[in-house]
Amino acid sequence: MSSIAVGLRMTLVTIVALMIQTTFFADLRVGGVAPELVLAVAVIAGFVAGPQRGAFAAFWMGLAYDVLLDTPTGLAALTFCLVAYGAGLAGEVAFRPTWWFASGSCAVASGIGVVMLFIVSTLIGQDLVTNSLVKLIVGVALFNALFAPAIMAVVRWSYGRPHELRAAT
Amino acid sequence: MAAPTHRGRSWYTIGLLVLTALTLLTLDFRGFGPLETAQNGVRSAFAPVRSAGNAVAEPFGNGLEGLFNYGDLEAENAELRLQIAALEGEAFQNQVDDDELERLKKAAGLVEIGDIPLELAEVVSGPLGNFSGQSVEINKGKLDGVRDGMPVVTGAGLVGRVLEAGRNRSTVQLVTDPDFTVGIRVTADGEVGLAHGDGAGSPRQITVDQGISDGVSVGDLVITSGGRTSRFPPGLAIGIVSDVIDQDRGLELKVALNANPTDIGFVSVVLYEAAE
Repeated sequence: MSSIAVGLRMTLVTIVALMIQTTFFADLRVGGVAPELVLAVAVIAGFVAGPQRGAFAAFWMGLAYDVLLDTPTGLAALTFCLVAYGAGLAGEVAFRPTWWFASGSCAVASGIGVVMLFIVSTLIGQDLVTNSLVKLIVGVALFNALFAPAIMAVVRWSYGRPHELRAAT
Repeated sequence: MAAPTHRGRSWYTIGLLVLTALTLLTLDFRGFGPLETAQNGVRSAFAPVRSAGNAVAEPFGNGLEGLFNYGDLEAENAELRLQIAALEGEAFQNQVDDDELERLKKAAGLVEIGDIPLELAEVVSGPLGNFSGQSVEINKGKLDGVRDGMPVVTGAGLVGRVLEAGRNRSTVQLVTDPDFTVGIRVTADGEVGLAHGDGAGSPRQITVDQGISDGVSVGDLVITSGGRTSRFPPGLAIGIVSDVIDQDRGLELKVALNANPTDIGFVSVVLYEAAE
């Protein structure tokens, strides 16, 4: 698949993810914690496309997130690309095409993403976290784990790698 | 899965992306004009998409909120019933206080808030994620007379100011944002000071840490001080002093906000512009 087609598909996925994040998921809060769909897409882009292409896609997703969700410009871009890069490196070593791998790894990477967002925002003197950090890590990890298999399928479609997640290896 | 090749190029890419992100963060903090213009353009372009999404999502959102927060709603109802009972008891006393306030305002030469036009607006989105900062979006903008810096209130008092007025929508910076500053006056003794938000961790509190020297007690009322160049007219209700801390440089006051910025459906933009 050409890189232009991949770029267009990922742009479409990012726009849909942002739309869902800023409408449905803005109100879908349990204990005050909302899902972080764009972070989940960024993480899975790392797993699917590898560290370099995943980080590149995650950077643009983070930038769009910053612009639309009113976080300091560059904050989510920085965090998402680092998390996607890490996810890409981990995926090269330990990827398993199963739903539990998608959910589990997305949960862990999303939790790390939340911690990184908290650290970077604190370093730049921004008090952005609207909940207790532990609650936020657990909540976002669980939400993103729930949506991960579906996101994995969509992201693999974007990169022209359709597949069915197996129940087990 | 991607093969573990081109590791050097991969490091180069991530390094470049990190540097770009850090540059953008720096430009954002320095208030780089073109960056803000680009952000506004993207937000405006995406606004119709979000409006359409909101229209579709609203019924589902309400259903989900009811499902997940049923217990909270019950507790909130019970609390509201108690508040109604208390308010009924206070009605008579309020009438007496209103008469007294009117007399004092005239004596102090305060601007009548009632004389300043208000623009009613609906809060169309609160914080959209878990890191969205202390701002909300309202459905009124420049076409309705809203301008940057205008105060935003509810019936209970000040909740923020217009951070960025768009054509049909505006972003409101909540009073709890640490970057939000407002000149205040303690009504009991006329002490004036400068207050700022306490951040997301203290959603109904602000701190006054400049200007207060003496004579303030817990329970004193706090209003905006106003002034010739202030963004806020004098006399907007803010809250009640909840704590007085003795510091080396003077008193630090904790003020419990009268309005609840985390739970607002409709607000009014005070169409007040500071003198140049």
